Amino acid sequence: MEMKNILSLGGRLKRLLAKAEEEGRGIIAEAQEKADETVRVAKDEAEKRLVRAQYRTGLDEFLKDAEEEAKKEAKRVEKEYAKRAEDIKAVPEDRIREAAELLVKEVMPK
Amino acid sequence: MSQELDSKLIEKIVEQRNQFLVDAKERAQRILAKAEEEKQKIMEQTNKNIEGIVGSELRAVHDRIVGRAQLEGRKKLLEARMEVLDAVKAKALEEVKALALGKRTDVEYSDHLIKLIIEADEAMEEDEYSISANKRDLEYLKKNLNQVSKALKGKKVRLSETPADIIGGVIVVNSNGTKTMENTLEIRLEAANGRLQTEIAEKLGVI
Repeated sequence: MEMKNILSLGGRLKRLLAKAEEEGRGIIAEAQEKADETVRVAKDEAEKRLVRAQYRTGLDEFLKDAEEEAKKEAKRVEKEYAKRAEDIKAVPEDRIREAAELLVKEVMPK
Repeated sequence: MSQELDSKLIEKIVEQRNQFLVDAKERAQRILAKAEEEKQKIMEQTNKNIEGIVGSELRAVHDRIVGRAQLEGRKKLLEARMEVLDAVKAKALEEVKALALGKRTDVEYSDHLIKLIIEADEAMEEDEYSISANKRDLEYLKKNLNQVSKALKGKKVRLSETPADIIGGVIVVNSNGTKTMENTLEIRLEAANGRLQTEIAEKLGVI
């Protein structure tokens, strides 16, 4: 009787393990399926975008981004030049006088 | 004793079962993470490929917008430089006028006036001249005609009756009127300004 019980318990435990293994395989299979789908969708999308780029359709989307970037850069450039122009105009009066004197000397015959 | 064995076996099996599930979940997470990584790579590679295809258009957009800003910027720099150089020239003109009116004590203008005539003579190499100047300078030259003649080593000099509308300096013409040298202060200032513009800009650090 006792032996029968042990055998019965062993069988149940074996089934439990088998079930767990199956459940685990299910989890992995589900993940793999999801992963394959993710990659497939990405590849599909990439392919579509490439074709659109090749046929120059949807180019506006890229150009818009590039334009935005370029506008930001242009603002930086404008600011930099404006600062340099201000620095140039800020020459002190005494240096203007010095430079003018250089001209005056050149005007007079030696 | 047997019960104890049973419970240990059950415990071990349950533990094993749980471990199966934990391992499976971890493996599933790794699979998903790898897929996500691959998706990113595909997107990056696609963006690079697209950039390669429409690169010239993108560069054209960049060059048009940034290029225009650079052009405008350089124009502003040039205007700023010209503003400073114009200020130098205006100041120099002011000083030259003061000098011609004898308002500057550090410069003897009458000496320079004679030198301007000598310079014209050296350039023209004629025997006879007609000299024109502004009213003030003509009066000075009339009063000092001997000095002028001496400076020109006895060459014949005739002074114009009509004053010239100039700041200072002289307009020297040969006897038959075929050669003229305008050795006026304004013309010399223009010439000097042209010659020294780069040097002045460098000195002022505006280049």
